[in-house]
Amino acid sequence: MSALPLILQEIWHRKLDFLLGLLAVTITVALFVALLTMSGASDRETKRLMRDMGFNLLIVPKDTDMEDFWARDFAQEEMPEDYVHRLAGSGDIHADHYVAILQKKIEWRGRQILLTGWLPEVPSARRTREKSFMGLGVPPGRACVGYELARGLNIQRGDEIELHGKSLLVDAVLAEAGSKDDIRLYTHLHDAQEILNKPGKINMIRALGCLCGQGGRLWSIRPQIAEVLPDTRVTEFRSIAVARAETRRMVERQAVLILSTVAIACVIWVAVLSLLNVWERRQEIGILRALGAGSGKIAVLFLGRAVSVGLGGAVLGFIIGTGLALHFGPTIFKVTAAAIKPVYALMAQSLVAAPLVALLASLLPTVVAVTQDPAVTIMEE
Amino acid sequence: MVRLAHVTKVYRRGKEEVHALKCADLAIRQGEFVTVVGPSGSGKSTLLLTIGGMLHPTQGTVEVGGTDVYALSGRARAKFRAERIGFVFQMFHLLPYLTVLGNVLLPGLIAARKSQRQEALSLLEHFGLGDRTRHKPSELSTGQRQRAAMVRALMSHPALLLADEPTGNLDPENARVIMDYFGEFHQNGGTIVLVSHERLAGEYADRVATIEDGRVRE
Repeated sequence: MSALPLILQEIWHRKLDFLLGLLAVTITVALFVALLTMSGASDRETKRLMRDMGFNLLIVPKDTDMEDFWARDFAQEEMPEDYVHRLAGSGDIHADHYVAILQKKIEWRGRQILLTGWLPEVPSARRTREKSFMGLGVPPGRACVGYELARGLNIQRGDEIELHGKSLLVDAVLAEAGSKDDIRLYTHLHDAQEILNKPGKINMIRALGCLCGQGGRLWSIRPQIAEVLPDTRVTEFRSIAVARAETRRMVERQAVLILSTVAIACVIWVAVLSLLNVWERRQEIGILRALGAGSGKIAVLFLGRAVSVGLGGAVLGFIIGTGLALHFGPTIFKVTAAAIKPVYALMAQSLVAAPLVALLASLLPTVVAVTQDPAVTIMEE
Repeated sequence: MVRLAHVTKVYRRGKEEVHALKCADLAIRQGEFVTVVGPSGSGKSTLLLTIGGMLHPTQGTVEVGGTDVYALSGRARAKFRAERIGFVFQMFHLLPYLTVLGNVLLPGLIAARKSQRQEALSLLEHFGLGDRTRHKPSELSTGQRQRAAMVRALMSHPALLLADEPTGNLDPENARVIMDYFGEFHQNGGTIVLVSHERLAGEYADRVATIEDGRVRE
């Protein structure tokens, strides 16, 4: 029996039933496609926003007294500048954006200031794609001055300042931060080393733990760093790390919750419609049996209908979902708007998944259809 | 052609048991037209569907053309039904989404026979439905629907035609027309078992059996 003409004619006859099923699958597929099309942009945007919260890992010499460190804002102990290159060169650590720092509190023009020598970020060996660099890139011979320091000493951008015998050009006066950054003076690491007479020395490395899964949390990073630099200790800025991890997990959980709720609603919707279809057609099933159709042939009619609903919903859902993502995505994800493009692989996935889901939703009603007693339905005059 | 031996059919509704057929025996020769009459609820439809291989009896055997129908597997029984038996029902049971021609061609589609379009068209012409082939059942009169259902039953060239109150929904004139077609099938050597509560059906039969409270008497 060629089932297709019968399926199509039945669909045409019960258009409303079919359209309701199609609507359920279309909405589900459209939502999946829209969210997945925008998920790349969403992921990048979240990473970007989280990254802007700053570094979350602090690496200091092993003997550092952390009580003293938090009181002074710098470690008394030092370590070789080369350490940052060793860390960056190791591909096994779930961290990125390594910055070597030499930081001391010094007296300058009758004030206590924080001198921070900052080596431009050392690219990590585990980078798989180009990423923008973090932190201030202060070139040698230049300085960036904190807001309060510049205000108190009347320092302007372009001024020439002298710091313990080293002449520096003020590259920028930083905006008010409301933190110790306001009394900080940033220079290139090598300038700071010269000023402090600590050639080749640093006293901290800052990094950004990667939060791919749980891989970037302290308990997993600490042994990785200890293997490369045994004479250091690692501290996590918990508030930043937890905020990053929680935000990303929350975004993921929300997406999973929305998508699974919609998918379950769709399955129930399609299943109920299929059941109603079986109920409406129970005498038809009886007559098909009387004419010699076996269970398999009857099942093909009902499952074929479900596949048609799935295929139609997949195509429409992909078009609508992609349209929604392209229309609303750039408004929501302004920074990474250009990354939102049609994902044609989702079309193929929808064409497989949607008929499969519709098929599964119709399985129970189909079993009901093929197992009901044809004699009983035929006798229901 | 048809032999029922000690056939009992019991429906169970919860704890209640309804005996639709009670040890029914019936033998019908090839080419015979037998009408089974009885009041509503007497077990007529159960008897017909049991003969047609659609209702497994609780006890007893049913043979059609020498084949023990219920000894066959479900699939083999479906094939047997498609090839040997035609059904005509009181409510016609035409598929509402197919045209008259589509309904008539359905048995051939199910049995995967080669196109019977020409044969279907000439049969429809013979039954006075030549100008209704593209109409849906809802666009036909009740008499036309029953004639279409009869053409559908004849498309598989059945040796046995089973009819359940085929004139029950028809006016006397249309009932007579339908019975004439049954008579024609019978004259061409076909075997018919027709259940009815109407006297008219008995006029065309070779033999009239009665069924009452699940028991068949001749």
